[in-house]
Amino acid sequence: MTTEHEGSSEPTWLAEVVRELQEPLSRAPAAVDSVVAAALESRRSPARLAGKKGLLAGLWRWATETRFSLNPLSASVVAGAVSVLTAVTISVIGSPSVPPAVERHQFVLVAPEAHSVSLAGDFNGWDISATPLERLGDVWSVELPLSAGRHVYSFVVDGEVWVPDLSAPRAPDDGFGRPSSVVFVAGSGT
Amino acid sequence: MRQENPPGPGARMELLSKCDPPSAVGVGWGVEHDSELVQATLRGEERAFRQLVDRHYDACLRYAYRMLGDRADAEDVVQDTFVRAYHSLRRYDEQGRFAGWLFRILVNRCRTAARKRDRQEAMAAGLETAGEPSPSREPDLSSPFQRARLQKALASLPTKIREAFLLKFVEEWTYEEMSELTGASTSALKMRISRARDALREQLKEAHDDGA
Repeated sequence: MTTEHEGSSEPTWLAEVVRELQEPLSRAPAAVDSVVAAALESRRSPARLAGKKGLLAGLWRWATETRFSLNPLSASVVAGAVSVLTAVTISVIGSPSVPPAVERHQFVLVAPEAHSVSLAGDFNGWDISATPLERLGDVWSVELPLSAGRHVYSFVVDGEVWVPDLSAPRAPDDGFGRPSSVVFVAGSGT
Repeated sequence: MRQENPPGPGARMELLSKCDPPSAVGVGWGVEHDSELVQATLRGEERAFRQLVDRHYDACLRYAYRMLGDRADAEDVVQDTFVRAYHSLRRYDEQGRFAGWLFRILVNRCRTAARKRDRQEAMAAGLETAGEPSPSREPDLSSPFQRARLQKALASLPTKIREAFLLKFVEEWTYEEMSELTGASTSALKMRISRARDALREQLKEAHDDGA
């Protein structure tokens, strides 16, 4: 072992424990194939991060695999029931307020030494080339339409340095090792 | 920062030789570094992603199994880790080790899985069926009973303490790397490891032999 440990030589019991724990597990047959297939399959499914047993995965399967078959009479009954339910809902709640689908938000970074600045976030698939900022003096900026809700993003300077937005709250560490910030876009009903 | 000009052959070999061993096994011409495989995957080359998975799967599975104590859960977490990594490869910073970036995802997924399920009862059930205890007074991990007892002892540790112990002793990360992986300070990690050693020693040893 080449690990560094505190104190003097490693106790015998610890060495045996580590030796046992370092034994590799036998790999299941086609384990790599399964992982690769899952990754490629998840790319085609919007429920990719919901987990194999997740609710979203289940809903996706239901939506894509279920085939309904209704005779004309049954279809009429269903349509009528939906109409009645909708009318009752509206009468009870009132005219629903529909928040705007998008709201324009300006992102600004002061980076006089930068050669390029782009914006990467959940709204553009974290693509560092999708949203370049425009430069005006020492200030880089871009205006984007954002849907209502919470968005996580970061600036990318010169294509490789990830910089959080100091004017915005920091996003919790999401496990990917890049500093990022949060912006909350309110709907018109809030 | 990236170099202005691509490194020549000699510089490439020097660069590869400084990489972590798991990523540079058998380094030579024709063997791609993790960063190259990442770039190839981003270009749509499935075989590159397959190589990354093949290269790092065993270490991930070992860590996940030791953290969660259940083979099926570990395989699920490892698969989830690689799927998340696949969708986030653009966020990988090539200046750091790919293994470290991947393990950061794995550590977080294991934490989530550990919070969801309590495995201690399952480990206790496994212990009861593992056979007769060894008559040896020394820690003896050669028998299935003792190996099960070790896994039970490991499972009894609080998640973050177990995590620190595995990352340091089993996966052999440095304290600086562990701090990046877990978000904890070096001093906190050292404290957790000290507690892990004390707890494991108490549970595993039938006779004190430290310093003997």
